[in-house]
Amino acid sequence: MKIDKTIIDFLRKKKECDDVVVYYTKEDSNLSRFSENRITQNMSKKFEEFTVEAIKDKRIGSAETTKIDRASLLRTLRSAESIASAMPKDPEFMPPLKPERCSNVRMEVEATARITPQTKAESILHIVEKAKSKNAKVAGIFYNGRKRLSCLNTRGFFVDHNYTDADFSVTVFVGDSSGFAEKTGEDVKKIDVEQVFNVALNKAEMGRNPVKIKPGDYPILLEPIAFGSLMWYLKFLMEKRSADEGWSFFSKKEGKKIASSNITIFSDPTYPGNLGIPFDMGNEGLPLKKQLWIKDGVLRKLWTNRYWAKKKRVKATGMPSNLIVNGGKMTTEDIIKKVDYGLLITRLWYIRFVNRKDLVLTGMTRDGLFLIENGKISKAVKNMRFNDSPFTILSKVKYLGKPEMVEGRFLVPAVFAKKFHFASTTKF
Amino acid sequence: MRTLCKYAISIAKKLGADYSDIRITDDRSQRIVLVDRSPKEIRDENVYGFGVRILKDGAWGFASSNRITKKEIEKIVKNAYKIAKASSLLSRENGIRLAPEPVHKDKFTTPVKIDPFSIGIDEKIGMLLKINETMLNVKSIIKVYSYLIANQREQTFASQEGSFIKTKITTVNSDYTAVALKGNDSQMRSFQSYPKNAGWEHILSLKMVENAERVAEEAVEKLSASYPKEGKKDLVLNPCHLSLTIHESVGHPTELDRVMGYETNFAGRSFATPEKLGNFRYGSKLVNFIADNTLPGGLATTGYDDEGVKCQKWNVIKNGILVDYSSTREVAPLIGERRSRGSGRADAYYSFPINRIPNLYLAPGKKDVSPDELISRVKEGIYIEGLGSFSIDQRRLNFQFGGDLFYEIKNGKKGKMLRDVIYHSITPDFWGSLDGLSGKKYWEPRGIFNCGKGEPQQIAQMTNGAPYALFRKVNVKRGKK
Repeated sequence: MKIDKTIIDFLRKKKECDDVVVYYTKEDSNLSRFSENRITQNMSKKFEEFTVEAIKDKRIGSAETTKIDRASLLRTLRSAESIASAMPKDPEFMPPLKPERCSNVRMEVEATARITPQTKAESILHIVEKAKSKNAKVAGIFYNGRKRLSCLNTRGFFVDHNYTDADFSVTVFVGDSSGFAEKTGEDVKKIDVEQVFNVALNKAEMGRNPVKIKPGDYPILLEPIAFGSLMWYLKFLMEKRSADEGWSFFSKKEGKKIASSNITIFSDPTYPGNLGIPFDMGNEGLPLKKQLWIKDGVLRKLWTNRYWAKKKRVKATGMPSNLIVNGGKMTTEDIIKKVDYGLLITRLWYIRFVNRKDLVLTGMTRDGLFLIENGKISKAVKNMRFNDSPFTILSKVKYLGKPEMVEGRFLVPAVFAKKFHFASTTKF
Repeated sequence: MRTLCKYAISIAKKLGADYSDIRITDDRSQRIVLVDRSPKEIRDENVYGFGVRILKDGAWGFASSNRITKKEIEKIVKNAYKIAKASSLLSRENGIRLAPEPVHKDKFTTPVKIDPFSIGIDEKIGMLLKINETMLNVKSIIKVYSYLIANQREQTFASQEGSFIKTKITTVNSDYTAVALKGNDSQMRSFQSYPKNAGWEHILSLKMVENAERVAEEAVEKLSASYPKEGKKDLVLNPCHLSLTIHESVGHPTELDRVMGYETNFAGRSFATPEKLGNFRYGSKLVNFIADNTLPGGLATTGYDDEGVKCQKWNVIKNGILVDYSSTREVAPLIGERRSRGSGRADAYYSFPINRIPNLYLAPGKKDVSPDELISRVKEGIYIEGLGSFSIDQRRLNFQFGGDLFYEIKNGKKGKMLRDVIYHSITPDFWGSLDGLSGKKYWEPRGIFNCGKGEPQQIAQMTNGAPYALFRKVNVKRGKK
């Protein structure tokens, strides 16, 4: 079935409600997963889904189906209409979007969609052989996929985005020591599997014989992958409504300085080197524009949905699909040379709230924790648990490295901050 | 369905598959979410498709599609075979051997008294609106959330070995949360319900509306509660709270795939390695963990797992000693086991079955001890209810948990309410400090609804039950800056 504007006419003719909004998602992906030097899971996924929202007198009902044909679309519409009829009026109802211009972001790379399980298996075999020659073991994933997201409604709104993505991540074990590295992006040709493996191998080799150090406050150098895992929390929590209602970390902070002067964070789906989905599927397909969230350490804006934006008489931004943190030109190695004392953190794990209002998080370091002394990595350290806020880091940033794209479309630099709190240690 | 399954298997056989299976899965899910008085999500979802798994030359290939036609099945089986051949590039030295499983031709259906899909949307919304309205009427409550989920999976499994299994699993889940605000301070409190493989009758039994005012009032009370004094304290943990501690510190470390390194890149490994089987002291002599995928209402009580292995009951930790793991047909032989423990599960037609935590519970004490009797044995400690913050390291040793409601215990009595309590320990030290269990009467099955694992990440459900339990000298901290 063709997904285009003809669906709008079809729905206009068939609807028994005021308006219809349809979301379409399609995924054709392959993932090869390996561990203990062999492929343990190798899979192909084909998935398509219609989500149909029927709107009747400020009542909304929603139904979804993976059967993709006009008859199923109509059946799903009838289900959605029936649900809408049983609903109370939504006091926060917003009418569907009118046709609006949306950025055309080209994120589709044919080579990514076409790389075969055979080619990926050959790449994995290559690094497995390398690992064996170093008495190491590897585990990881090699993923590639082509996806499509569309949103349309009976008022004529239609946005559509095709993209590809690839991800190669690897954990190397040398004895009891592990190292991790990852590269993601829309173009699989830009992923140098051997280079990623070498970074992880180097970490694993350096991480042998770790020493236990006392928990407490330490200066830290967060590598981009570790920094990126904290950015998820910023992305979801930098939201205006909960801040206005008073129960968010960001309450009463708009316009105030919340980070070091060298921190600027923005989003832009058209940003070269970190393209993003140009509309927000969680906000009726609202087109996303460039937004400046933190400028020179000052919180300029929080993201907002359409209802809250109308209530507060501001422009709805939608939730950003990417985040970019400004950086410098230094590599992680350059920053290490400038550090007298601190911890180098490769990766963070199992991050959860300890206290939502204070934005205190907990989590563990993993796959490469090292002590830096006098501009050099002096020793490997046993992993530790942190209990602190990402804003402890962001408000004490001394050095920023060259930004790199990490999971979740975050373009972030390595960050050296003067203080971060570790509450306990573990056994390895 | 039988014809389509036979067709898939016949193509796989013709291609030369050493083993193949197909799952045709029809998932229906109804999800209702209310924020304050606004319905935020009212969704009826139907995900229908099939997945084919082929083993060739000791390596897996898996392919799936949402288009269920003969032509598509042929295409997908051929693709799965091609992928298995690609995987076999790396299986020359250590190819997969599956643990044998008897051939099953069977059906399993969750016993349901009231079909949750037969209850009108208006009735469901009405219940949630009443809950939200009740909580919003409590002074200082500024935000409320409530949700209701009903899932039903109808699945047909067929294997090249001749198994043909039809299952119909129904699950219901509902909960709600109130946010209280005073000045710049806010606190949350949830009802702390639990999901169950059952019908609407489970939702009715929870008395959700009746508890809404209490939950909201407790959220407000938390605002003026005291912070804990940091240091070593005795803890009395309620079954709801303990279910998550069990899940993280016993359920995950005893997944055999993790033990054997399959989750190294994401969810991590386990300290509970095979040489420890039968001799490692995981906890005190009071610690008895039983896995039971036949437990009535259990979220992993599905008759058969997604590899066609019949659900079983077994000991994981006996008198404090590690004695077994959960496993799949692939990993069981790696430690010489002759049969899988039936823990291979997939979260959708497009997912590959992986080793999941079974229904796993801490057995109650032999004597009919009450929670109050446990509290009476504590000179200085904290009583913790419900789920809060949770995090554990990638080998399942260092963990830290919060909770939803806390009370000081002084000289054997439950005292004033506390707030922002977290505790930290190392898994065997924590279970080694278990010094008391309530009796069978106070044992509760609690469910974990969103257990994430695997790459791509899959979400699974299982029940983790517990009695009330007393732990000695656990490291307590204040979870606030």
